[in-house]
Amino acid sequence: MARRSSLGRRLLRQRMAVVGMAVLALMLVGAAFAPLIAPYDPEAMDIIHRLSPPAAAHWFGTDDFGRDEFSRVLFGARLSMITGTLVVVFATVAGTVLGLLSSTLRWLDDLLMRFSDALMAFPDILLAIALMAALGPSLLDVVLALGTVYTPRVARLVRGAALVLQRTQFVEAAAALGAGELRIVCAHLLPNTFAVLIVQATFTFAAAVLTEAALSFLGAGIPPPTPSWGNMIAEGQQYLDRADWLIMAPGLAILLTVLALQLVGDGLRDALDPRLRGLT
Amino acid sequence: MNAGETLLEVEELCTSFFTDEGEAKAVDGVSFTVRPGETLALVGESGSGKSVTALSIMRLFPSPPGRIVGGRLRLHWNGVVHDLVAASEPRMRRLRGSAISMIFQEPMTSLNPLLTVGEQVAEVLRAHTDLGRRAIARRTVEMLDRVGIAAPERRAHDYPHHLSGGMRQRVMIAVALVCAPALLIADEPTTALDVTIQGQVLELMRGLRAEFGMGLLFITHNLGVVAEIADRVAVMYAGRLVETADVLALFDHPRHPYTAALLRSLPRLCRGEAAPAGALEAIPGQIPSPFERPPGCPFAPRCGFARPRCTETVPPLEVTPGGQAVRCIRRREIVP
Amino acid sequence: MNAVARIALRRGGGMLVVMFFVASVVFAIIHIIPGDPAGVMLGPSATAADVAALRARLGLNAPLPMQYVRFLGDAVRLDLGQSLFLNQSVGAALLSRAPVTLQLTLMAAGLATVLGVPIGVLSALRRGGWLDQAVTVLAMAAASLPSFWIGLTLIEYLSVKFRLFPVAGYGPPGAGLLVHLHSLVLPAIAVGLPNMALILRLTRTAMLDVLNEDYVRTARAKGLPPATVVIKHAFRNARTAVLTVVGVTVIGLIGGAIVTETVFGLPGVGNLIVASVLNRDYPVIEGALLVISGIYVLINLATDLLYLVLDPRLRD
Repeated sequence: MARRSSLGRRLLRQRMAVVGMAVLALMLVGAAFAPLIAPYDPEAMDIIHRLSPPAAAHWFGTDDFGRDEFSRVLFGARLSMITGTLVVVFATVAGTVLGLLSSTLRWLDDLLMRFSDALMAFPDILLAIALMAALGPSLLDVVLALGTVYTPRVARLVRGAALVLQRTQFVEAAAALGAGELRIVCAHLLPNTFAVLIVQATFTFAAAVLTEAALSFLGAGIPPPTPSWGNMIAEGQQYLDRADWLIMAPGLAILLTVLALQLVGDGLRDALDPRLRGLT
Repeated sequence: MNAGETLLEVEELCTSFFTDEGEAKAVDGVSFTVRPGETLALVGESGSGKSVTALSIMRLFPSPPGRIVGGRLRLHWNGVVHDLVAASEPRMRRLRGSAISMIFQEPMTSLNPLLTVGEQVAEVLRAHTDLGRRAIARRTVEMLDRVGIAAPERRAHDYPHHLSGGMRQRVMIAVALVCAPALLIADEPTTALDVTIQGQVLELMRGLRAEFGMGLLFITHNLGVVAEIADRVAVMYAGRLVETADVLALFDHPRHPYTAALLRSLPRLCRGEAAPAGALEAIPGQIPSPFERPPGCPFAPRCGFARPRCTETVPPLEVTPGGQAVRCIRRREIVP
Repeated sequence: MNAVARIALRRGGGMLVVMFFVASVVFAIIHIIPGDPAGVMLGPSATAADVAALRARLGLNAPLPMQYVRFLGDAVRLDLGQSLFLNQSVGAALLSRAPVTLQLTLMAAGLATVLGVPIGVLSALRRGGWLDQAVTVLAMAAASLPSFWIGLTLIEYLSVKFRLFPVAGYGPPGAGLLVHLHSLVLPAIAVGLPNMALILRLTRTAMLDVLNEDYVRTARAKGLPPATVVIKHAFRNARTAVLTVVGVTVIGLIGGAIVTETVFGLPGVGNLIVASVLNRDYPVIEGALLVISGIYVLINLATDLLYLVLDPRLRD
């Protein structure tokens, strides 16, 4: 008779999380060392060999300009990793600051929460597109736009955790002992919200990768010739019937990355605190 | 009510939970009988396995980890003997609510918050009888009235959150008895209630028992309640039955060292020769974990009368013709 | 019902407040960019006279606060202005394209819910079984795929290779209802699949929580048929959580629809928005933002009211 219990499932989850982490590590290494690993320059054209299927010379085939798809996917990984990291840093820092401020200053709280409600009333991609229309087509602008999209969620999370912690006794005790507000915040609140933030960061990363891909696919994100998985799929669209590796390779890359991030996020959430299950 | 008949026979029941941490032997050798119309109190500390015993009779424990691994459960109902261990799930479903009913400890969470109180009584009738809508509605209101709920026609349309804890427990009793089961299992029904309400609910249960004539298996850790409601008492320790006796006999002359220790640990308010008021007598040590039952008698590590041979083999349950039982190899030698 | 009306009014008021902030955010996005909006809109090849004319036409010479007030006033009167590139008002443009997007979103939501909820319930009932494990992994994978990629893959296999569906062929309602709906099936699958995965996972979690509750044990102790226990007792208590999920994922659905319309060439709001972004047709972008967020806030209001219907405890 098979044994099933919550501990067993947690172990299984950890195993999946480990697999996820391995995939991510591979992705990060590939992204970091892309200039060294990539067999070709991602923007080097070779018209003679355009639209060739995957083979020994080009592992993922070539696109309509004869550029090596594998190298492009690799550099696309680089772009996604950089974008994801920057967006997470932006959203986490901005969200934490706003969330903490919100939890300590009543008048600001109402205002900020209404703004965050408003921001969350747009679909991620729509808000991102609108911001990109106002900004320009560069990596920094993409980070700015996506960072703005994902800051409200982090702010809410931090504010919620901070409000809960504020009511607990040790914070009251610290205040009674005369510790300044800022010191209480830094010493007590931050370490306790850490777990929640890490878990949220992985999911934000995953969302950022997907949204950046959508932006670039629509032409509102990273413009070609810089390879982004999204604009690669856009370029491969017209060759759907004869060169499907052009959309399969970047698509599967997105799948692997986002799936790995979700597995890691779930694993972290289980490992750090089973109580968090309801929060994110 | 023929005193010679039996309603429920439990014979060396063993129920274990198989988890990643190993096998938890929640019930490891429990035997007792309940006769029609009789109230048997099942007594023990938390962790003794009394709730799991009750759930085993109903086959309601979560079944991937839990399994009945030994013993027999027989219910005599409507002239048929039902083997509750081997019975199919559809058969068990037919018995639950109609032949055997159970009420639980937490009235605040045991009722579905999204259904009216009347509906929760009516659906039992719908599941087990052929009555039409109007008859069901009438029986529902009658039952609510019988358990002491005022203005039952109106109350039937209330939701559980409109009712107090005591009233919710009354509704639970109505749900359990509306199909007139032969056996009612009550798992600590008054523990979560205020003391004043406790008395009312016990009073109600005594009245209904007289009226319906069902057998009552009353699970509790409170010896005071036992004295009020039980005809006979079965004492459990660490998953095993250690003593069974008539209630008066149990209180006057406990035969198992654990029972005696339990009675001694009751606080006494009066001074007297036989039981001078003084320091509370706790039983030293702790109940063993269901994952690690000690060999031999489970109480031996904490027993003042223990001898080396007590830890060698499990003492057999010795049953006297009168229905008393003790599981102690030294029972003839000691007066605990 | 008096309680319901009161709560509806209060929530409605809250909704208006949120819309006020939404309008402010929209204004901020468009008007607080550095540089001259009119110049950006017309591009580098515009003459100074053109720019000045556009500025006057859009009222950009007024001080910012006044522009803000005028913008709010227009929004309240539902006057969304004129498109810069299409020969129609923003309102008319959105209205003409709304039906397609609405149908797509509804089909996708229907698919996601009709498949996701029952599978989520089954997964919870057979927790740890092979169905549960397989479904969990597949659901996570489906939620990791961009809907536009799913759309392209579906086109490649089902439209091109197996010729079961039109390739980027939109069948307008005029061509017959069946043709019209048929052309929406693949886009609905593409948009609905990631959402189905989310709904599935969250339904499963909600059911697992509920199945552990005492009242479910009571229901079993009554000898009720298993279907009754699962549906009338367990799921009934999980349904508000499921409703929450569906409400929250609607916004993702709308986002997915926006992107997927371009893959399938559907003449919907999404295609309009994308074109407007590339053309810098700001009035349309503003209008679309207001309308879509308005729809989302309305949906939120509807789900809040639905909670009241579903859970009697909230009415007191």
